[in-house]
Amino acid sequence: MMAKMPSDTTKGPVKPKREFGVTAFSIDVWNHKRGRVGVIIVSFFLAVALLAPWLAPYNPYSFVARPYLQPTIQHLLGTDGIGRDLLSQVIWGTRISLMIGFVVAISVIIIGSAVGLAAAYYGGPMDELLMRFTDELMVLPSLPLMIWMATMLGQSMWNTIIVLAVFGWPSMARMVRSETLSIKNRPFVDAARVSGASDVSIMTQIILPNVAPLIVANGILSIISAILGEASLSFLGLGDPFNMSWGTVLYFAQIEGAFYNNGWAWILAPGLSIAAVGLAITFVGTAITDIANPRLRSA
Amino acid sequence: MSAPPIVNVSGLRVSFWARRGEVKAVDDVSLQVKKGEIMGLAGESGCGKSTTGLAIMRLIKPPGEIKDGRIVFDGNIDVLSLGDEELRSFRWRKVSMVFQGAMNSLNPVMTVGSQIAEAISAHESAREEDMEERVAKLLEQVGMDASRAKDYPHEFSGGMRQRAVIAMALALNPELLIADEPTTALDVVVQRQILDLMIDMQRRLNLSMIFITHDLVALSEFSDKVSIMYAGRIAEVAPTSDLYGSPLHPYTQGLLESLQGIATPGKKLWSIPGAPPDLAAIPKGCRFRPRCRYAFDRCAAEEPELLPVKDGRSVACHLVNK
Amino acid sequence: MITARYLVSRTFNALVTFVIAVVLIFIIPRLMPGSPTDQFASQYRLPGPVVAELKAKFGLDQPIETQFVLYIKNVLLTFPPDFGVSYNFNPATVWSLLVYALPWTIFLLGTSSILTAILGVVLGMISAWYRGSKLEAFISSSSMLMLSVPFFWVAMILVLIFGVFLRWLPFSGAVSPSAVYRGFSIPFLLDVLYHGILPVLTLTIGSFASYTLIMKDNMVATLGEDYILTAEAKGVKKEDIMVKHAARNAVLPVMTLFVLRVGFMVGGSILTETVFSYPGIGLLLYGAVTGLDYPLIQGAFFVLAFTVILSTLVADILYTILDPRIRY
Repeated sequence: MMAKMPSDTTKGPVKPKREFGVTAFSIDVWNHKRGRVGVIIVSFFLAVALLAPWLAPYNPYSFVARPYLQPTIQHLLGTDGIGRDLLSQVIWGTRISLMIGFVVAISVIIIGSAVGLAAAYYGGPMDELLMRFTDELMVLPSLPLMIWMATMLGQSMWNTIIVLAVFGWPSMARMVRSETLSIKNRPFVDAARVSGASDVSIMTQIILPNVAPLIVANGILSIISAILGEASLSFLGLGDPFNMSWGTVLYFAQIEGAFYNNGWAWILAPGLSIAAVGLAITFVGTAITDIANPRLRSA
Repeated sequence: MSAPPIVNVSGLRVSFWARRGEVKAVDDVSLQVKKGEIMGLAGESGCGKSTTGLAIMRLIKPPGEIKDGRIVFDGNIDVLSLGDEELRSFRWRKVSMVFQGAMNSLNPVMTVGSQIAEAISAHESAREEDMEERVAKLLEQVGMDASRAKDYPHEFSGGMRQRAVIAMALALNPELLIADEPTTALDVVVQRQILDLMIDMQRRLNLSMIFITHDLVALSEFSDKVSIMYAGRIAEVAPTSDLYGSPLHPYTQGLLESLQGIATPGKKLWSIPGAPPDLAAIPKGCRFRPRCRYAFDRCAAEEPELLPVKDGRSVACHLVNK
Repeated sequence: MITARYLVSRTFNALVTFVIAVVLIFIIPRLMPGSPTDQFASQYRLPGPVVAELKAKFGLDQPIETQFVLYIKNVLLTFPPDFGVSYNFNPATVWSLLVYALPWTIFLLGTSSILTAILGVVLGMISAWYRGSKLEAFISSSSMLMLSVPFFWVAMILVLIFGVFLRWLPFSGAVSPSAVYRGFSIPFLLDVLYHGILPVLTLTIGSFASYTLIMKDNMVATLGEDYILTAEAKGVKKEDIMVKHAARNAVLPVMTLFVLRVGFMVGGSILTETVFSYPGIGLLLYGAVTGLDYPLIQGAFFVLAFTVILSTLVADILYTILDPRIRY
């Protein structure tokens, strides 16, 4: 039990620290052990995604060799059931998986924050209504509904993004709402209100900067759930077969009988990529929360 | 040569390792409590009194650490070198504690009775009926109805919870009771009741007690001796009446003076100017010097030792120990 | 502590939610492109008399209000709920298909839920108590890794290892395809277990991570509470402190997590059943949705909704019983 030392609870508003800025923060993340590993891995995959057209040895959709080949020099991961190069599929898949992950995460952040802020700030019936809606969405088993929606809308990349975003924003909204509620009653918010600031400007310029660290941390985690969600949907065959993501590659692995044809590389490569990206993003997220919240750092 | 003190602390040093460095919460503290005596341990928040109490039971947890010192119980138990099992058996049987904020000392999902029984069963095996009887007696001893043993902590008022915690502390008839701010979080009326209860218990069971508090008024009532702590060290030790009647250390004087303002209508409220030093960066010389009105050159150069003055009194001050 | 009033009100709440769900199950397919009536005879080549009977029972050629009334009558007011005949599996009725599939899913979900809870709580407890040690680092890293991995992929890896390379375990179906069993005989149960190992293992591995991490966080927070220090001061043994004091308190929020994650586990079972061709509700639902088998879709969602709402209610009540501070 520690002797009672005066703690540094921030009583005043956290002004957007322009002096610290993105550069200093990034340096902190780099210096964080896990953060550095995470950043390196994410950068690697981003590079692969961007350079896909030059990195992939073949067109992932064309037949280039005999099917079910084991890994060889020419086909580092072997070929799939129709004779398409797997390495190229995984490389191009990086682009699709990451893109969907980021776009969904951004949508979730925007929608979730807006709903959470509005609900907490305005309170009353608007809060009731919004939260009812949010809770219903959260409680319903999402995968069955996503499957249904995806089937209805058809197999395309954008439909996948829509479906994932629709079921992803509720938890962000809940989080933002709790945080906003705890900030909303602080004196500096009242001060702003009294001095005549409009609701929107209070929400965006005063509350939002204070909630931002939480949003960022959760936003990063939502990238992972987006990537995993997309992988699940694609694995079930609801992804876009003409825009193969890692999940789609695994879908084909399942239906084209990778198990019965010793397709170990086929199964390992996309899955490991998902795991690596997921873990890396978790590390970056941990680094950010550790840095942004000094109170959590143990002495 | 009379009986050994129930506890003899010498040269105790406890530090906490924080990001800004080593925080010396207890910096060379020595004190003795005689059998059957009530020793008050007083001082401002953060002066190290709670830490000292915890150290006696070896309850200092990381990032804290007992760096140095000897704690001898009843003349023959060297507390700091006890093995794990010996320590476990020593705790609560010889010394027990009433913690600061007793409200939270109780596990919210266990009944009060079972928690008191747990204190007993951790050390002795007893039949269930006997256990129930013992718990009932303990509760009655502190003025509670025995039927409340089956209730949960949140069903009690603050004062009742405090009584339950005291009952628990006395479960094994310890020889020394360390009470850390037992009345602080209670309202004035209940404070009085608890204080009376503790005085009563002490008399009946001939308990030795260390009463840790910042409430000098309470101490004046029932302690035999008072030790004043400042910034991790003991400033002055004296029998109660002597301390309150003629305080020797400037800090003690200041404390008592600031009390008078409240007691005497019309008198201006006064408090010692300044603040205690940062325990991670204690300045050279006497640590009270920046706030002391009598400071002279020796005070800036060397830290005063706690030296005996008259019978039973010791002070750590260059002014007194010339 | 629980009162009859609380029980009644929660149950009532659950019923209301269920009825709303049932209504939604009616409405939503009719909002989607391609209404049930169009899919009919031409595509699925149902025999004439069957078509006529269905049209009559469900009022498929009548206005939507009549359809709704008939729907409610057939689904909520009759037992067993009548969803008609499955388009793809006719002449099998929807209900008979559901009845066959449900026990498999319950077996899968039930077993893995229990295992997940136990595993998560125990691992969380251990990693909190041995905080800072290599064991804790290992457990935490594995948990974090598991959260980043799609667990259908875990299923595939397990299949690769145990099914393909080692050939120890089967990875398809709930029982051996060629076997015939009479009732719940021992050989039947053994076969079920044999086929169940991989799916249950997959589902458990995929789910325990978040429980472990949350339990660990709760334990660490609980271990910092004053009553833990008191227990240690009282001389209570270390193991007893960990279990009787810390874990007992730390496990409570984990139960709320459990309530929230029922939906997730249902999704997980769909993926698992797909990988293992396990004949549960998940696989049935998947086939129904992709095959546009409307009656079966409705039936499957009906059963899912019921299961989720029921388990949420049970977990809710369980939590109230466990935490004496809650009074209703």
